[in-house]
Amino acid sequence: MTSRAAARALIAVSSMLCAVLGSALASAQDVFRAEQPAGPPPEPGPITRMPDGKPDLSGNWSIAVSIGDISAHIVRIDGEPVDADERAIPYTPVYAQLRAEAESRAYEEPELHCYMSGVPSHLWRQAYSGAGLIIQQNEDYIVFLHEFQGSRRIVPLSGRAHIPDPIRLFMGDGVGRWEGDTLVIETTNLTGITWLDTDGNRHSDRLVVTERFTPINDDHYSYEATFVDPEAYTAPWTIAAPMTRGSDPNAEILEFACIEGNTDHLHYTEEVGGSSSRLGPDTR
Amino acid sequence: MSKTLAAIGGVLLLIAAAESPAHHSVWAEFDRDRPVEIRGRFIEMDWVNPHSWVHFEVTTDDGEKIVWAAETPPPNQLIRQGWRRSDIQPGDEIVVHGYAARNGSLRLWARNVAIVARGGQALPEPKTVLALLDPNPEGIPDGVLPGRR
Amino acid sequence: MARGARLRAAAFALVAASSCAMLSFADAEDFSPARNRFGQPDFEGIWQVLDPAPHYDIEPHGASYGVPAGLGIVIDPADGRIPYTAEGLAKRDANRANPSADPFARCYKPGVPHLMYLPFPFQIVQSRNLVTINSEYVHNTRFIYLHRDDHFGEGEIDLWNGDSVGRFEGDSLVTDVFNFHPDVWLDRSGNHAGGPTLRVNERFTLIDADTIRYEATLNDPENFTQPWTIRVYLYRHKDPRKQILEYECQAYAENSLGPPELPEVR
Repeated sequence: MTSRAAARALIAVSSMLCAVLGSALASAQDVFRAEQPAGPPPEPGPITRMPDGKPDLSGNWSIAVSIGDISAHIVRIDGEPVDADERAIPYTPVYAQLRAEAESRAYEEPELHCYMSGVPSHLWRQAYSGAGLIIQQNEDYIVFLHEFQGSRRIVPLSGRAHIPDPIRLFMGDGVGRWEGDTLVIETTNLTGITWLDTDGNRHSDRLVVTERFTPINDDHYSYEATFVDPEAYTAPWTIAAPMTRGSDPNAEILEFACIEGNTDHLHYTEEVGGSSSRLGPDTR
Repeated sequence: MSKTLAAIGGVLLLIAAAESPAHHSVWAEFDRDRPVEIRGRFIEMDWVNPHSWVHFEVTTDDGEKIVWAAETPPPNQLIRQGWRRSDIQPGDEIVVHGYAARNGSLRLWARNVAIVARGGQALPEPKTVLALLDPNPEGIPDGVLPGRR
Repeated sequence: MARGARLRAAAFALVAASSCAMLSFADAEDFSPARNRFGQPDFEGIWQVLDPAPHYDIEPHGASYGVPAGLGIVIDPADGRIPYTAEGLAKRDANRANPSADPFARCYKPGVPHLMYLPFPFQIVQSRNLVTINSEYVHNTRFIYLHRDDHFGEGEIDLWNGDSVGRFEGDSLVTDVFNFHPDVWLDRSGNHAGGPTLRVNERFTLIDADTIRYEATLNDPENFTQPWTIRVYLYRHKDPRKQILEYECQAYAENSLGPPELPEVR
């Protein structure tokens, strides 16, 4: 077996282990996630509930969306189901061009500058540190905690109004409400700085993300997110992915210091949007 | 081939680009088409977030000594894989597999780091301290942070 | 003074002193906080110190331009001064002489305990095995794990916030924090506590429904001649609209990354 074929076999094994759907960037780090579902869909079953009867999502989770390419998970565009070969983000011309320039704009990736990853992609960035998503929940708030970049969202469950428009937040302003057992979170007030994945799919600061977390059984929820952004997209589009409880209820995440030791941004050459000269001295 | 790569002594193998680390654009900074394997003498390590650095001295065919830096995942991840600061000592002979920097500097993104000799004595088996393809060499359960006392 | 009067004066002083001593803790002993669904005393909410002074200097200090005066937050030793060793003091002096080394000036993590008395609010959230302290300052979150009582080995990892484990003792949350990064400061004045030998123990106690008495004891024979303790009071934000926003410090610097320059497309 040639080394190239062996490498492909390794990729195949990694992909199976982490079940990252359709991702061309299957990564060895993905195997650090909680086990991903494989095989038949999970059966409905009882779920942990809060004292007020609402589903309790507290615990450790993994959402099986590709870190590299979010479009691989598109299920609907403009409300209509799409086939696998139609999974393309319906960009406006300006944002299609922005996407096309992703390689030469690699310097603009916010994580390179230690910014938080935005909504919703911060939820599935875990493979980088091998650590998952922790959710804390009480009757008034749900809190999403992630190790990578320390991305964190505190979402009230009150259905209150959003904050004023001039305030732009990396993690936006998320507001949650219940529709039966489905948790619906609407996020506005984002910046145009965060990306949706590492391939360079992006959004403007007009983006509104609506997420739906629907329980199937205590270890499996279904996750959906719909993106509406009149500057970046010609139509709303929706992704869906399984959400699986982690195997270790005491799995931990650690502090993620970033600017304290970050030098990568100094090494980006001009062809990727940086200013490090090609063949220059080590700029550590 | 850049002057720096040409100057490296030791074994230089071509390894098919087997995977890409799935975090911020490593490939904007490192070249997945220039995989390298470099052997050198460990100097010190910066155990720092967001990326740790392994500094090692390489002796070229001309006898010149140059210092390379291999960039790794953060300590958070290294510790989860079972790598301890005390596992690697100054003077250890190490072999680093990774991908060369695009800007031509003496840095690489490390995919695998193994100690092959200590105190002038070859180890019976290389001791792997970083292996991004082997997720769990010591069988540590997901989420458990080993080694706390 | 006649002997009888001296005795009466002494007795009065004794009673007064005892009453004062009792008063300072009678508040906590009288108050019993609500319990959450896990049976834990409920510290959840949005909190912040009122006193702006300790963030600048935790020792007693007069005002200077832009800096309010403070009586200091060190309650032990009694003189309110940090009991540095000669080494610790030298490091403090070196910090003072080098303001660019101030981690706060670089948007670095303020660490523990400085995070607790920053001029930024934080939200405490509790779950079965985890208490988080979610500060608005550069999205710092402290993780206080309740399911273990051990840490990483000494010097094994450097964490600005340290590695925190906690448990509930009666109505209080007590923590044990270890594995500190060496470069942590305690304020803007060069006072420092960090490195692999530092150990911090905290106690959070609700003295009424809207006030937490926060104490932290710092122990590091390398830098301090004795363990020493600070105390601040944390007050609940009562405005129902209050929420944790963002202060992403490094994003506001002149050369920081902003929204993209959009391409022109005909």
